[in-house]
Amino acid sequence: MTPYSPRAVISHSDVPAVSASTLPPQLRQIVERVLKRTRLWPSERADVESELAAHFADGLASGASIEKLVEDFGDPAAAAGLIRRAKIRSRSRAWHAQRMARNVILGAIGLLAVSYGAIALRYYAGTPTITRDVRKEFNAPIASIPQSQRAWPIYKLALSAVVNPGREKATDESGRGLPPLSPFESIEGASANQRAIALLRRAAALPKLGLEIDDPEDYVFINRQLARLNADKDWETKEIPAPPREGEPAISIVLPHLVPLRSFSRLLMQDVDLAVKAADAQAVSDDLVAAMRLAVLTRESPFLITDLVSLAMGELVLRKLQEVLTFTPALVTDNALKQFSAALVDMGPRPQLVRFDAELQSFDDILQRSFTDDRNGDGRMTPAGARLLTRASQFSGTNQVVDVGTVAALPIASTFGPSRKSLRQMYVSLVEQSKQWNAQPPWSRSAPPDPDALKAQTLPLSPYSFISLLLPAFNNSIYAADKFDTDRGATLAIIALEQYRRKHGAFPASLSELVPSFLSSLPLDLADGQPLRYKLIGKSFVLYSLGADRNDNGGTLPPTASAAVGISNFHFPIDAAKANYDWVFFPFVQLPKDEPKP
Amino acid sequence: MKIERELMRGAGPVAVLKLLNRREMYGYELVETLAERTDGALAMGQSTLYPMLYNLEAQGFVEGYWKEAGTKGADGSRDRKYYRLTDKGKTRLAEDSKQWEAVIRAMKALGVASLAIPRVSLVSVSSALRIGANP
Repeated sequence: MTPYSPRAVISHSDVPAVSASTLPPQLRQIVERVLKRTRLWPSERADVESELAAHFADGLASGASIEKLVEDFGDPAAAAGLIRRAKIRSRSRAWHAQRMARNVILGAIGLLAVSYGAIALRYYAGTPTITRDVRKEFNAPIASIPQSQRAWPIYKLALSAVVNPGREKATDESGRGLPPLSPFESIEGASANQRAIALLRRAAALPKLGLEIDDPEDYVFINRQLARLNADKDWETKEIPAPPREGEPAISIVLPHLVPLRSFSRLLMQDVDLAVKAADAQAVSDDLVAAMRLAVLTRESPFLITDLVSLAMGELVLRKLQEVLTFTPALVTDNALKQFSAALVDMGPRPQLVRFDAELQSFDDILQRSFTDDRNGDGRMTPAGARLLTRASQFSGTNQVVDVGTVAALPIASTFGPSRKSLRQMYVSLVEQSKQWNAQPPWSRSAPPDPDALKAQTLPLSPYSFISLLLPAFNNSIYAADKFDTDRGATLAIIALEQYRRKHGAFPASLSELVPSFLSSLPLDLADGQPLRYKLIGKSFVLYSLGADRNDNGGTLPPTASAAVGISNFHFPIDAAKANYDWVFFPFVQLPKDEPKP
Repeated sequence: MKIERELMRGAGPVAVLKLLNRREMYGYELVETLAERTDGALAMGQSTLYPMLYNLEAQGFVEGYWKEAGTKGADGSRDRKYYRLTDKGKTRLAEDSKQWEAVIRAMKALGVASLAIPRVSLVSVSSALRIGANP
């Protein structure tokens, strides 16, 4: 081996500047072409340039011609490729590891991009197939009701007959302006609307409501009449565009009739007050029965919302009935007591007070408009579904944010999120759980179905949102029915007690004496499933539930109306300050409002 | 006669390692020596030699270093990149030499050496490079 002097060695990092610029043009071009094609780092290029230049210089120095050197060099392009490969192989392990990591990442990104593209293509190509007309399904039972049995046309007449009582620019004693009297919520309104009230009593005698849901004529009629009652001067001519029906999803169904029906309930209660003042026993009886029937007829549409409105109307009439039987039982005839009992029986029993099947029908409608259909009950979410979901979120007031990220995630949600079949199974499961839970006696129920657990896993516009957005408050509806049914049972008992008194001259010593002659069974306390608490006090009695604290406070009333809030909400923790009171059904006491704070 | 590319791919690096086993050399010198010592059979252009050298360098069989040339060119002193065999390269050369001997024996036994490569047989290549012989 030839020795070399260390002093003469030049390190790699200090590559000598042997430039190709000193070479003849043909050779210089070769070096430049090779260097350009290698796409190496500058330091690597400098090394290669120096070596190739030195090579050609050696060739020239040894007497070789330029042409010979060019010929011997070979293909510069092939050389560049091979040099690049070899030089890259020489790079550090760290660099190679970094390159591998980068390639893996880029590869993964590329794979993801291609996969996402395929998923997005599949998503945007998906279209729903609408096979059911849920509106028609809802209205099918209505079509077979004879006109002569329909109360709705008479309720419409009643609405058009309602007039404002006239106090539109009144002031109070201090000269402050008073709001116009509501025709539905004042005795003056009842007094001014005897014609409408007569129609309400007539309608109540009919067996069916007979209202076709989403009827555009009804929509316009109701809104025009409400505009009239709101003193809108243009009510007769104003444009009231009915919402479109054809092809619209079931979630867009509006139930405008609930507004006047609920108002009619209030109007009848005002008329009871008017009749009590006038000692008109017949009117008292007719109004109370008409109001109870109205609550029952309202439930004709199978939606949960109509059930809840019906329950609210029922609560109103129960309060009034308890009030009348407390203060003016003489205005209630024996026959009226029987009528009240019969009407109250019609308003129950509890498990039927809230229904969930229409909610499932509406959900099915959403699914058929949002998912593809594989003819086997399954499918994936489509862009139409995302649009519907956005609309539903606006409808429900949640207004889910539809940003770029959300839209980009939709194809992924469509592919990897729950399928049509699994979503339906989830919804059906919740409905069934709620039905079972509703069917159990409230005092022996286990933990309620927990749709909130489902909501917790929802992302904006994910298919789960269909459930979280469209899932009605099943549990709260059941609680409302529980409360109403307890109140209904208590009122039936109060009627039976009055019937007992009329027959025996005094109230019984215990509720059990009412069964079976006056009452088919004892009313049970929502608190514990035991009979409602009954205490004979002198010539009268107290009938009460233990209330939400589930302690017997001897029928103690809360001191104010606000203190009574929560007493009958058995399903929620009660405020300790309200724990010493009971839920009293009789005697009726109008609790005072809270004193204004100084 | 130049040998086929595929054969060159196997023979070229061994030939370069063998030359460098004797002494360090720079690129042009390697090209010239290979052509001369193999009767042109293993003559290779820069486009083949330098990538090969860089590969051998990347694999750690040779190492290159710059030093001033002993002769002065017309433009003054000139630097050259010399290559020398590493210990790893020596080991590799020993292994490759054994393999080549086995190949040559096998070719001889088959009578391929005298038929397929009449002028510059693998035997002559081996002989020219003195594979297996002490430097």
